[in-house]
Amino acid sequence: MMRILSGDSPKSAVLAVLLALILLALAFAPFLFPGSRSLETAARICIFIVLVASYDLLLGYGGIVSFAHTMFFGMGAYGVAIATARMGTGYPALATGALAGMVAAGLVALLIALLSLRVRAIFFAMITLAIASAVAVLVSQLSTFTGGEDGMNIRIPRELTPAFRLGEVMGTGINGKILNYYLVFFCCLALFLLMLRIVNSPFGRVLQAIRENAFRAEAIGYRVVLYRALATCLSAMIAALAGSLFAIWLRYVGPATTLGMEIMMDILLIVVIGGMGTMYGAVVGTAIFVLAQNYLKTLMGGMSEATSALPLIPDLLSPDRWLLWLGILFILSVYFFPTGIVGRLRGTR
Amino acid sequence: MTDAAPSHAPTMTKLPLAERLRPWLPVLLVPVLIVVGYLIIPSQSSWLTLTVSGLAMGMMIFVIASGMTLVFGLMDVINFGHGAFISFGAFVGTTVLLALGQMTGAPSLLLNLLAIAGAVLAAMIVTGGMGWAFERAIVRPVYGSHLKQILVTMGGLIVAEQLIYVIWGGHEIVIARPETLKGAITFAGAALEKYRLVAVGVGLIVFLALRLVLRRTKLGLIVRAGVENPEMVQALGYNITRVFVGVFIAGSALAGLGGVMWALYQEVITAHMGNEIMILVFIVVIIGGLGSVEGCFIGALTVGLVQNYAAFMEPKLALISNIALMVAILMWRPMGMVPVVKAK
Amino acid sequence: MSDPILRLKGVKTDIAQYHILHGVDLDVPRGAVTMLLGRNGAGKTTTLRTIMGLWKPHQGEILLDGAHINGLNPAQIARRGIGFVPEDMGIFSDLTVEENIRLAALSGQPIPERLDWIFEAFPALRTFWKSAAGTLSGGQKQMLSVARAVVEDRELYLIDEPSKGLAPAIVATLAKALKDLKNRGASILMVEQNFSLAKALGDHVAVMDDGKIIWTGSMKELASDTGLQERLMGLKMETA
Repeated sequence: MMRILSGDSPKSAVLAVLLALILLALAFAPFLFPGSRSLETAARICIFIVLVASYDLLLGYGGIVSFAHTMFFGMGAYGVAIATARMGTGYPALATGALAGMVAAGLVALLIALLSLRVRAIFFAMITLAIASAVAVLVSQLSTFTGGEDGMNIRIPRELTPAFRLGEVMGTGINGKILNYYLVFFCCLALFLLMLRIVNSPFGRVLQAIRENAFRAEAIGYRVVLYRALATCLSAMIAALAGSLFAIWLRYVGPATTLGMEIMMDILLIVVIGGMGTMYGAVVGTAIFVLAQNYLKTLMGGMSEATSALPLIPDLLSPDRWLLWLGILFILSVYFFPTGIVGRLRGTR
Repeated sequence: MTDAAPSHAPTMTKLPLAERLRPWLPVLLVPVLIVVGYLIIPSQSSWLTLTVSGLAMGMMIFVIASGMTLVFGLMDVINFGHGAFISFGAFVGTTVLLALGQMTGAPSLLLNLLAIAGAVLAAMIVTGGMGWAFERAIVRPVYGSHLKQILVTMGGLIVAEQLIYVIWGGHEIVIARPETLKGAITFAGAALEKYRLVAVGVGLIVFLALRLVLRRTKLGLIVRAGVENPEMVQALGYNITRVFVGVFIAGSALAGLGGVMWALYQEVITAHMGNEIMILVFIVVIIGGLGSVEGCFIGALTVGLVQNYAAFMEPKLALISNIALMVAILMWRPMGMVPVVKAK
Repeated sequence: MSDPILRLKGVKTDIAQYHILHGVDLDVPRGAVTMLLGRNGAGKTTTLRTIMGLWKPHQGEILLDGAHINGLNPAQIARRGIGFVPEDMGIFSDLTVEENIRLAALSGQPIPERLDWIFEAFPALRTFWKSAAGTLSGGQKQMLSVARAVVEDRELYLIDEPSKGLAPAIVATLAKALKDLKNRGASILMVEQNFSLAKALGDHVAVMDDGKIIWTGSMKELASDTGLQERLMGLKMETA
């Protein structure tokens, strides 16, 4: 077990149990929680775990703040969409698209990382924000190429669609959608384990040393720029792959679903609340976040109705204001739980 | 005399022309850009309209960005929540203007300006107060950690934006310009919107006022010294923390003013509007150089002009042009055009 | 012998996770120049900065004129009467010489007599009055740094390596100015590696090593005993 986890044990009984539960729930989701809505949630959790973990690689382990992450996510998604549109439906198209998205993300990440050579770290954050916004605007404007605001529909191979039937297992009908889900699940699992391997490798340790004290690391002899650039590229490429999976699952891609600032904010929130620099924080954080997002909103809706007679309160409790409370939780997290949920469980301050 | 150094006035060798010109190069950027615009835009009247628009937009961005660059330069604090002050300013100002509908509807320039003044005052008081609260509650606990500042101020941004939804509802509000500022005057065959000319004027006043305070007052002296070396300012006997707070509040109030100006420029406001402008504000702060009001001014005008010229030539490339501009300037001067803050 | 103007008791300062001061006990006599000597890294600059409140000691007391100043912020300490001339001079390069001086005057206007003294001691400052401080030479910047510290009436001056990297002629100017200061009743605590300056100016000596004071005495005592010098600092105080 330790070998699979690259030696990165949960270091907390509660955490280990939580992780096991999440893993089992996701692995057997089609059977445990029948219904397309639950499956949708499960797939979303899988993909976001990878997306957030890749961001943790950059922020938590590398200490680099970037707002361009959703851009890379979008590159993977649009890669698949455009490849399918040009090459027709089929696995080669999916693979090409994913590969193209990943390579593009890696190259752009490299360029951005090299730019950071000349500017201060704090400029870097603002620059990534500006670039990501510009790309989002560009994508919605170049409609002939990218489908603009409306996005693009993706035609996936028949085996992955609900129309494809394969029989029954344990009372649940197996159709292409479930196959699609398992494609997503296993790829995300593989990517997550890959990231565990990366952060627990010598490379990962040097990265953390750089995060703690870049000056000292450089003095010892590590080319800080190289490590940071590599971290940025890896993070971007994995995000792109997550984006490709997302596109295949959703069968649709559009600026709102992949490039919006809201997603970037969500990633940031999850990474902080889950616990920066832990990888497992992404797992726990994403699960809690996505579940809360779905079901808490219903709760808030009920509370808002119940208090509709009072002034202002119903507006504060309205499910549309879910971000308000998340934002407050986020701020409190940064102050009082800087190590996030995972940090708390592990007892580190 | 004594054995001290001889007290002759040493002759300073004149620096070569190129060296002497260097500090002035950024200032030339704006007129050069305007000339370039003249050359590439086919119609003279279009060029005139765009130049005025560009300058007006630039002025508004300057008003907003000036607070941010001073806060960043002086306190080494990044406030990603600055956008919230813009939006709040716009909403408060709009509310006041709508309440003063009688005055804005009247065909009297005086009444119109008074109404705007009232809106601006209200907006600046509210956003100034917000700034004070923001600094105390959200920013102060995380002095010294840029990472935490980014996170926490982004959180603050989200919360503030959501509060706008709670207070004013989720839809956009349309706000018409006051009667006498509607429409345009024609000049040299071009239609120049009256409001935009006013915006340019307001921006200039703010710039000159800031320069005056910074160059001629004791407070300004403290701020300028503090941007360079806050520790030494303290060692001279000044409580720089109070100055910090003051600058933060002033910066937030200016963002509020910018918000009102922007609201009247766009004639419609949304809770999200602050964020949309923040991208350009960041670009301006970066290319202007931290802590420099002059750099910010030049940067803002440049960005405003580029935005308008590019949007006219090829609308899809407007934002990308400004990104390209930012990259180009950073290649030329990695610390920004007129950096005051020494590398920290 | 009057009571010391400054007294440090068991002062311990950490910077990040490094222990720099391991319990400094120091008495700075009134109306005299005390030299703080020692190897590089002994903690001399840290001591000055701790006194000035720029770094907080986690243990120990600092008393100025009998009153505790540890725990106060640098602005309060400055107003209690301590002037600071830091190692990097700390001048504001974008401000003119005039603005640097004006800033140092807490009430806004420097006292005319004070200004006269500054111009007499450092004529270059008058020449470059309206120039940006960043355009001054190293020596002139140092003069400005000292001039700034004396604009306000101060009881104690903390001066950190004023002669570093300066030509002998400039050092002579500085030495004269500092001597004059002393004659007017100021107390000075000075870190200095230039031994000729130290010998010329210093009345008392405190030698530091490894974050502690290992020897105090008069300058005459130390200057005349090369064996002692070698034991304390690992070298002899050669004069140029």
